[in-house]
Amino acid sequence: MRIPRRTFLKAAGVAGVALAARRTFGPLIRTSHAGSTGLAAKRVVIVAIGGGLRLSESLGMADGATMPNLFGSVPLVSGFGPGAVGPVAFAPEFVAGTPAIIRPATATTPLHTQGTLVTNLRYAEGPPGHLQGHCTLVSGAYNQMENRGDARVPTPTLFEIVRRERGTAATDAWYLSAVGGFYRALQTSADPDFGPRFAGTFLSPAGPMSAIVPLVSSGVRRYRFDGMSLGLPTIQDTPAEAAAVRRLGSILDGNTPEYADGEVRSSPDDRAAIREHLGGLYADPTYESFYPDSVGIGLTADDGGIDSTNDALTVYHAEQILTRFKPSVMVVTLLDIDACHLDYNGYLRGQLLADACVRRLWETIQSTDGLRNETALLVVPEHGRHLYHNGRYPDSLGRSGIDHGEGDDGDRNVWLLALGPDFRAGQVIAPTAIAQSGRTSGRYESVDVAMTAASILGHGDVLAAKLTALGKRPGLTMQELFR
Amino acid sequence: MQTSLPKLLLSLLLLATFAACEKAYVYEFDEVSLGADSTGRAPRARTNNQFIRSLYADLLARTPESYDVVLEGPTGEELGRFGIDEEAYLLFALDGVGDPAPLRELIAAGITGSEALALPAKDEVDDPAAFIIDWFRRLLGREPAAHELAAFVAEWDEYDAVGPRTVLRALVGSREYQSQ
Ligand SMILES: [Zn+2]
Repeated sequence: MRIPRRTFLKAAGVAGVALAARRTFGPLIRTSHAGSTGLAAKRVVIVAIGGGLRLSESLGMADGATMPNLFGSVPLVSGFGPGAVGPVAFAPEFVAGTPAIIRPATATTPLHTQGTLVTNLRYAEGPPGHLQGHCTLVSGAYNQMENRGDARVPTPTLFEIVRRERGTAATDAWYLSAVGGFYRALQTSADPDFGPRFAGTFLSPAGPMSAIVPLVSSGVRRYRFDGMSLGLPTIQDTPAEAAAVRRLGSILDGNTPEYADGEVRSSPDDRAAIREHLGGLYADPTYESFYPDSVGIGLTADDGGIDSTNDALTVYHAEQILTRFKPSVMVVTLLDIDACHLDYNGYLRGQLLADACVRRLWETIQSTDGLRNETALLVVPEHGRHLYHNGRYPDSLGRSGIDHGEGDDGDRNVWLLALGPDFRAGQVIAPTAIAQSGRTSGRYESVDVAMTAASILGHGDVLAAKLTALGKRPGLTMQELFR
Repeated sequence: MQTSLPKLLLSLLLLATFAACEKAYVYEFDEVSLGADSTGRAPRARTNNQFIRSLYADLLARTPESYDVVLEGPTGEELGRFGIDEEAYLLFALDGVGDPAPLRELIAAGITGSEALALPAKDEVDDPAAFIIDWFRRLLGREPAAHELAAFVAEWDEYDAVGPRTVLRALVGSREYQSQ
């Protein structure tokens, strides 16, 4: 079954919107079905592998199988040899000088066989830079977004579209990023039809999902370890007390006007839900809730335990939020591989860990009632990296760092892995005849990821119409992905 | 529940991630100013930095500090120590959320529950109205309006959960307190 045309036209109700959608999707709409989207997926999770991941290392496996859970050990793009490759080729000094990688045994069958892999996705326009690449993935539009935390996405994000069209709470749309800083800017656009009141809920787990808040707010400066326990501080926020604070607060806030500064502010209900989620972490006296060893992904700690990486921590908490809130849309930003500017081996390690994290995320989805077989997972690098090394910090194998940003083919050739109940299984494709006015690549592009996500959720028409109205070239729904 | 030393050390390494984050990437992290602009009668929101500093000043009568946390063994021997910069660490946590309000509430919950503040238990407060008035003055710089005082006292009388800590949490969580 192909994705029904009604997916795109549904809920339009306005001739102009329908026309815009029809013009956008054109000949790619091959089958018409009445009714709803006709798809099993009720939510979309996009894992954006940020920082720049080249095709040559990921699908080409030029330095070994860096993403074996996703792609196995046989290169999936031409030019990289026909046979299976070995394990990742880390430089010996890196292995000797850095903590050992901890990850579960590689899956016997790579995940891509459960879905469709597009091996020639093109980040066709815009700077291959941080934020711009992610902005493309959350908004479906190439952009020149500034690297500022108070910047706004120029066109509506998936979060805003979903929340406005569905009238849902902030907890229905999440944006989790391995780093904070200016990535928080991606939670909302400045579009007057959308904007902060429909923003996604932004979280960068390294700060709030850590021991910082209970430890620091306790003010305790001396701990006695009696051989069994330390009596670590917790924050107790019982439901009765939280409700009381809310009642008293509403009495006070009745005297004060609302803010009018255009910042993201959640509703009292959303605020309570998010506080409850964070509060659950801070109430755990074991501190296991921040990142339990049972995750099994990270780096070996000095004491034999597991240190999370930023990416692993982010994916773990994405799982917790998915299972708790079951949102319609979530975007997850990973960024550890960006170590590649100065550390090629760190780049390879980041891929191995991102690979393990994505597999774990998918297994969590598929083992959770309410997520299983109704969640689409799209995994995509935000952009690639240069075709050449930068000469900085070469390892003993002659590999130095690699930057990104100039826009060569290394920067712009990426891939997409689509897993979910509506996607064809076992399909590896590289279409080269994708036609659209203004599309010179002939390929599926990064802007198509958000459009496909929006279409799965039944809001592709809204996104297409908005981008068209703003003079942007909307992405296409990637028809070949679907059963 | 018991907590192992290794798990604490893991937590501390997570704290150390804070420092590593800034070094690992070459981004320019511009300070995010929440509520920098205001219009008309709408209040101007305190930035996270302003909120943290006012919370420490108003609740703990001091500025945020940097210090070493010491881990001792069963006989008091030092097992290790690590540094905490209260302001920087809490700002790092707040930088990791879109709307800071829920996390500000929890930070306030932590401080109001800490031994450093040492609030009285509910049954140790002989005159709830006086307690409420006192903290209105200290945190909002004004007397409670009659309807506010009546509502707070009524809540105090009706609900076990309403006591000194909830009063303070509500006051510092209010839009009035969180505005400049
Ligand atoms: Zn970079």
